[in-house]
Amino acid sequence: MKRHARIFCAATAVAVMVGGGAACGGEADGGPGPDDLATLAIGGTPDDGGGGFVPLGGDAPLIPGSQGGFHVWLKYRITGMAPGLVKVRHSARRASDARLVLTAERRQELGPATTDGYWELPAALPAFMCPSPLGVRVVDETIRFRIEVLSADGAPVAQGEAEATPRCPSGTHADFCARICSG
Amino acid sequence: MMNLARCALFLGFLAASWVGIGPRQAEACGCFTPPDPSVPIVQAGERILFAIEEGVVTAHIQIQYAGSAGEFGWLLPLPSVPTLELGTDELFAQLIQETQPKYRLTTAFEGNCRFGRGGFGSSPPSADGGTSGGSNSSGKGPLVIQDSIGPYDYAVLRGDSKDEMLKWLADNRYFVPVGTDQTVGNYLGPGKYFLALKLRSGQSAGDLQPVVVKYPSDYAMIPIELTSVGAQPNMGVQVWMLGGSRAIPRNYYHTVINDLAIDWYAAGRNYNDVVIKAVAEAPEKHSFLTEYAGTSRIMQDRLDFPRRFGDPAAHAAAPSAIGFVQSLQSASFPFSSQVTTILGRYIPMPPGLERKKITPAQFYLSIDYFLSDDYRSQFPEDFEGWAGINYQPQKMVDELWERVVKPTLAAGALFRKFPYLTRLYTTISPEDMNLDPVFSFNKDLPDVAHEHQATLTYYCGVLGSDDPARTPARLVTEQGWSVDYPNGTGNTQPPPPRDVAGSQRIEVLGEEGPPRVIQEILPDRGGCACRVASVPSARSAAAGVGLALLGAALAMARARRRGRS
Repeated sequence: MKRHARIFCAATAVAVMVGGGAACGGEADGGPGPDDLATLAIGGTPDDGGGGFVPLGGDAPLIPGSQGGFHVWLKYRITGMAPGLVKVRHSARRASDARLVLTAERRQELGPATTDGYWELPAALPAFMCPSPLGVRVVDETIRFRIEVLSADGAPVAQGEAEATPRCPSGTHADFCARICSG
Repeated sequence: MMNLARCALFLGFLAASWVGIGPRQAEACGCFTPPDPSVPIVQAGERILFAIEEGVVTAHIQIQYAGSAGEFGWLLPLPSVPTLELGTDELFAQLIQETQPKYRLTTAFEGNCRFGRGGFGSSPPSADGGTSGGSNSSGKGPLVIQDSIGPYDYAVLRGDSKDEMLKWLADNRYFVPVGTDQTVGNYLGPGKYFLALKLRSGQSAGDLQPVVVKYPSDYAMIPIELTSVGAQPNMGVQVWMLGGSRAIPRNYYHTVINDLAIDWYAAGRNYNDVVIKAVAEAPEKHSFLTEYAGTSRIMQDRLDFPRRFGDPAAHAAAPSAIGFVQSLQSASFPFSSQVTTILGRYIPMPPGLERKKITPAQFYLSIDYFLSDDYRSQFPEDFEGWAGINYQPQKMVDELWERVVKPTLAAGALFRKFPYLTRLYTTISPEDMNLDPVFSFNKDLPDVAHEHQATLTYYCGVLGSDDPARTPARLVTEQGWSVDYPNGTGNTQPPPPRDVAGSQRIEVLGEEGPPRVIQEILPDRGGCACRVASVPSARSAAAGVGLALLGAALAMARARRRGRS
């Protein structure tokens, strides 16, 4: 009896995984598939949030910022898109359990591509990390950042993901950062 | 054995979760800066309306201050150089009124009740959930902008260096109270800014009006640690959030108060005490309540209804001061302190009226009476020392438009732009102001009504009763608690239970998904009476039929007694 139950359970799990996978990858709404989307690369920038572009990954410094909080600088490069006004949606989730850390949306005017073939966000965006959501530790945790570019009618036209691990700064802000970024 | 292991695993998980959401400390809004650093001004409370759109936060901040104009100062840390505009007190008056928690007790009668239909709770309810009780520089120094707006001089300062900033404030008579030196530290650093306000020369405390600050940020946050400098115990913090869905406290707990603790008979008079108790039950005493969450339409047309404020040219053309004030009245101007303070500079109130405790609003609303020849001849002493009228209608119109009309219309427009309004509330003491509350949204959460209802049913039985004080009754609250009064509710209004928890539920609200409940108490299943040890007349459950029978028996007994006498 127990053996039958285990077989049934395993079969159900496989079915759910297969079904789930199909649902995730499906294009039931007829929208663009991943191949149709423009390429978006997520990057960071040196601590001052100024110029420069470094692919986001590994350790990401938590920068003291908004009203006593901490953020990670985000930038992005888009290849294969025409200039124009778009909506950009950012989100960040803790990789271990997909708990939401950040969600934000804003409009962005995309300019023409450079000779290198991409358009780059001129100034880095502060991705708000801390004070972190209640019960969600952010510091020293792998965070999955996602940026989606949507057309005026809300259709996705570009998206990219990158993972990084926010780290508190050393020095005067270290203790404070650890306190408010630990959920 | 297996169950025990699972149980242990579950408990371990719970413990781990609790540790994970355990104690933190942090810092945090504007603080008042009196000139005498040893005497912090008591700050009555915080009232802020946030609207967030596309990475820009718009904050309407009501400055509540009790003190002399010369002693007023205000400091707000910001993530970037803000834009500053004037706000309006009327916004907050309307918000408070339209979203105020209300507790209504409906009285029902079963059987032959021969007493009134206007019992407890028939008076208009209003739980007072409110607070007890508001030049560019490219040089090297901290100054970024110094300018004036409405009644204020203001400066935006770089927060790179505490010493430089505090010195600039002191040199320019923006005073800093004791304690700021310690609390300001976490708001300092490269790329950080402070907005400092003081009243302009010649302005009075009555000129204080809300400010509107706009700055880029994805989240609204109250830097509450700075507030602790002049705060009082259990200070109320009221936050309204405008957006596309219900707002949440991102890093504070969320509490649903236990409505059994509410004084339903007095329309929720003890509401604030219940809130204080409920918040104290949350970890770190860090929790907000949602007092209203729903459509922002309830605020539409409250501030900017059609043809409000009329035509400025028509007001300016009024032939006399009395005619001017009456012209404002007919255009639905509020006679708030902002309006009366402006009017007072040109049409001052006679000093004797102040001595008679006539308020400025009362004076201007009845100006034709107080300035009539009859009144003057009858009470000449009221006019002793009166400067008289300096009638300058165009100047008055200009000031009114800048300080009242434009801010009010702009505030009203917010409720057409943003579809959803949330009202959050907490009370917090200075020692607990160690974590800046951050607010966000969650579209998965349901609306929250601000009007609440309980029912008190009298069971008069078949033979009837004519005395509500002795008639068995049952109170059933909105959350399903019931309290039985088998011997009646007595001659005085029964108090609410004293020893019940203030919170019905403590939970964590995320930016998606349903609440995660941390602690919850529920009424007994079946809706039967709860056990309320502190209610003298409340006993264990008795079903409606039983109460009706008891009522009938009591009625019979009284009828017999009356027969004997």
